[in-house]
Amino acid sequence: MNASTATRRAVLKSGVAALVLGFAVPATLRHAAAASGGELGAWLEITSDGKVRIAQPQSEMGQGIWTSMAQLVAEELEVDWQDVEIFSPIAGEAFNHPFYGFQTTAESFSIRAFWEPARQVGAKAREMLKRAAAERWGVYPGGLRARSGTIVNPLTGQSLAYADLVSEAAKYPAPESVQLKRPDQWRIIGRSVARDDTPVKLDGSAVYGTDVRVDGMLTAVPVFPPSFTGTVRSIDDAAARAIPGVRHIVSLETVVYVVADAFWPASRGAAALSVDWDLGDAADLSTASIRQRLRDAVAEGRGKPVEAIGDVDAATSGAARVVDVTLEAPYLAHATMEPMNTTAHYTPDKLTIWSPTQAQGLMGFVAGAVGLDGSQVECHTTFLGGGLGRRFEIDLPIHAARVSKEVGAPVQVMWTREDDTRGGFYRPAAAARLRAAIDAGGTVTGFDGAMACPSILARAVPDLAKGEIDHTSVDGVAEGTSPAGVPFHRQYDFGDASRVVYAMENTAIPVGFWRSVAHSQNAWFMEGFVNEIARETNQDPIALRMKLMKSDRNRTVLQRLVERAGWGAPAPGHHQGIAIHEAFGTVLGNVFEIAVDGNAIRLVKVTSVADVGHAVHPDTIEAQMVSGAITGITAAVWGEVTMQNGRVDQGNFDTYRMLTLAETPDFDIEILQLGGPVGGIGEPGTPPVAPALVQAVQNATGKTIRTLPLTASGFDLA
Amino acid sequence: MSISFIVNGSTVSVDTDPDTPLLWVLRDTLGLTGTKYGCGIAACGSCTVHVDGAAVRTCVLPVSAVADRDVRTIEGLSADGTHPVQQAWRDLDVPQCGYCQSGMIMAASALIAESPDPSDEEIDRVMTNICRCGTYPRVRAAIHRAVRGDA
Repeated sequence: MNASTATRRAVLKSGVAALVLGFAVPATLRHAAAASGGELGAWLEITSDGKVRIAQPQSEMGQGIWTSMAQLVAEELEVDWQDVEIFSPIAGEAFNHPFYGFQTTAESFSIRAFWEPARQVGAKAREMLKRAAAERWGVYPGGLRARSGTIVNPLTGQSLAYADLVSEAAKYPAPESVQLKRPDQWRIIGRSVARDDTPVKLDGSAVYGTDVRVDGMLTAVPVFPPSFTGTVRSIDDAAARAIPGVRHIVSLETVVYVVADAFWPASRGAAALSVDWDLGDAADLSTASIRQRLRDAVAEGRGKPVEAIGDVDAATSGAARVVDVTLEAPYLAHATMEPMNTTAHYTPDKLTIWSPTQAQGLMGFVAGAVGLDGSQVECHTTFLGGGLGRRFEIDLPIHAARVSKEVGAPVQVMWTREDDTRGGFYRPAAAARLRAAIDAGGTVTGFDGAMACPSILARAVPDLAKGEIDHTSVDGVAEGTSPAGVPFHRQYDFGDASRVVYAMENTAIPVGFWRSVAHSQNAWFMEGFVNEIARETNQDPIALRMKLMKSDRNRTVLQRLVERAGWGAPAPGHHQGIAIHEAFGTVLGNVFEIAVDGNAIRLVKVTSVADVGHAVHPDTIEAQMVSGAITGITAAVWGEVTMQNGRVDQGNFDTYRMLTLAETPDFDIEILQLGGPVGGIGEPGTPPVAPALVQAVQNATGKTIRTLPLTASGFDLA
Repeated sequence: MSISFIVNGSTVSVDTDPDTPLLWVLRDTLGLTGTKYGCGIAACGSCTVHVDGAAVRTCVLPVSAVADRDVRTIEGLSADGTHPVQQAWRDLDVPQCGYCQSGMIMAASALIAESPDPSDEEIDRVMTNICRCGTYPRVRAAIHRAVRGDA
């Protein structure tokens, strides 16, 4: 999600300034800083015993940036990795995301956004430390060297540890910008160091949102209406209040919280609470009706134009053949392992929040919800038991703040698994009708696309959904720029005539950012479409993609994938499928090898190749490629949220199934570093899964599959 | 009503409704938050502990069922993170978000206590804990490593 252009310019300026300010220790604090060993602003603290404490402000949800972000800083700072201690700072402007302008973790955009700025933090600190040594020795700083936490004068052999220099260094203004190390000089970047958060995740000591404990804390469990537009008419709380440990019942109009001493009594109270709901307009809403509406929209080709080049109708009518494919995708829930929760403590002067949040910088809105302003919020970020985009929403922080204010105590809002699955903010259901005009030689001469889905931005960031166009709905299929000024991109060139229209079909079902956002359905649409063009025109799907791809980078990744996967030569009785997609700055492709017996699919092997430009910590990248693929497999095989009469059908893992170890295929992963801009890896592993797996199933069975999940076509895993 | 049992080598006595699931007694009465809540229907295994050495899911186990029994949680698996499963998990950097890993480690350690060199088929059958991040390939490799060493 991107800020508009004008806002972004102002924001980049203040973002850089904030990093610089991060070094300036206010005069009043210098004495304290010197006493403690010295602090180089919000990002860095060097203790008197030489420990280097590096702030890591991005949300760690398994993608490994806890470690790799600190590697960026430590590399330029010239310290030994064993002396580094990583900590989660209180949220603040010093940590504004360089692109978005507020602290947030989204769109696989931590390493690639902080690639320059985080290294500048380390480099500037290093130069300030050199300057302090230079002044101490009365020499020119340019001749000094920084290495392993010391400044050395090579001419005299004198050296000083950073700990001895830091309180002087902190007095200097940070240099404007500093030359960064060349890749051949890197000692930490590119190394798969032991993940710094692993030890605490092995012994139960890692603190997730649900583990936060504050003196006097109460726990609040929700009771939701059986409709997304439900509001409270009346509450009968006698049975709930009779449960020992239940202290308060708090109505927030669209949800009622039972507040108790701990989760168990709160959940029993919630089960005993009786609420008379006004169900509202969505009382009889069904996903079946929504899906039909989306189908109709793309069949009719209605919607706003998002791409219009040349004369598509002429290309189509003059074509030797037209490939015409309609594809659909369902709503998906996030199902992070850690259910939804946030802890808040409201006082009239201050709101303190402890949350596994992806949106620290939006807590000003939470403050506003309880009559405070952004400067009165102190936000602590815990580890996240998965984020997947769901924890970008600030609904729970708002609920927790409001309940805390109402009951006059710190409150941990905790949703059950069922509350989470039924709570909305789903990946939108979507449909697309994609047509290609093909000439007699098999060349695509025109592309005509109609897309339809509910818009995430219409709710989440309305300014970015101007003109009823949401770039997160069309990215990956269309090429252009939204009325809000945000670009969207397609890796294929379909010739001189192309048109894409988008119908924004909003409903009462809240939709939100799911892992890979638009790309989760749009790679399914685009790759399914390209595979179909290949099939109908008897072209090799690889050769066709090589012809259509705009960039040699994408061709390089595809070629390597084909080689590594042994494309075209599966084991006897096995079948393969392939897909490749470009998203979040990364090009990633998958080959699935499967065996099918009737309707039972056995996943044998997944080969995945990605170019990320530069890899800071290759092992975390490998892990995320597997992770993204498993999210994609789970969704492709079973993923579907359905609703009838206003109520979501799914609830827990018995009805919203998760892949298990026994069902997991072998993975063969290759990371390319082609040297371009750094690409993200948290999300790119997911989009190419559904089209590759489905192509393999189609190749194995001869069936035509145009909708997900695979269970909708009668398939399941063996 | 007071229920006594051993937790990580020490006897505790809790005064709580005997139907309270052990998960919530561990987390909220005893302050041992290493054992996690993921589903509440014993489907995911995040709540796994050892009861008399066997892996048990505590979100549906009433605390009355462990009266006078020996309960071990992730916090008590080793004094300093040196159980072979923990070592192997560290060597291979198994955890991603890590939320399921307390339960995963307790399930894996119970498995190898009972079956010293489990086959892949046995691992498939026993290790039904859900991991949303998809650490499964490393879980399998780490179980083998815990048993066989640096293979």
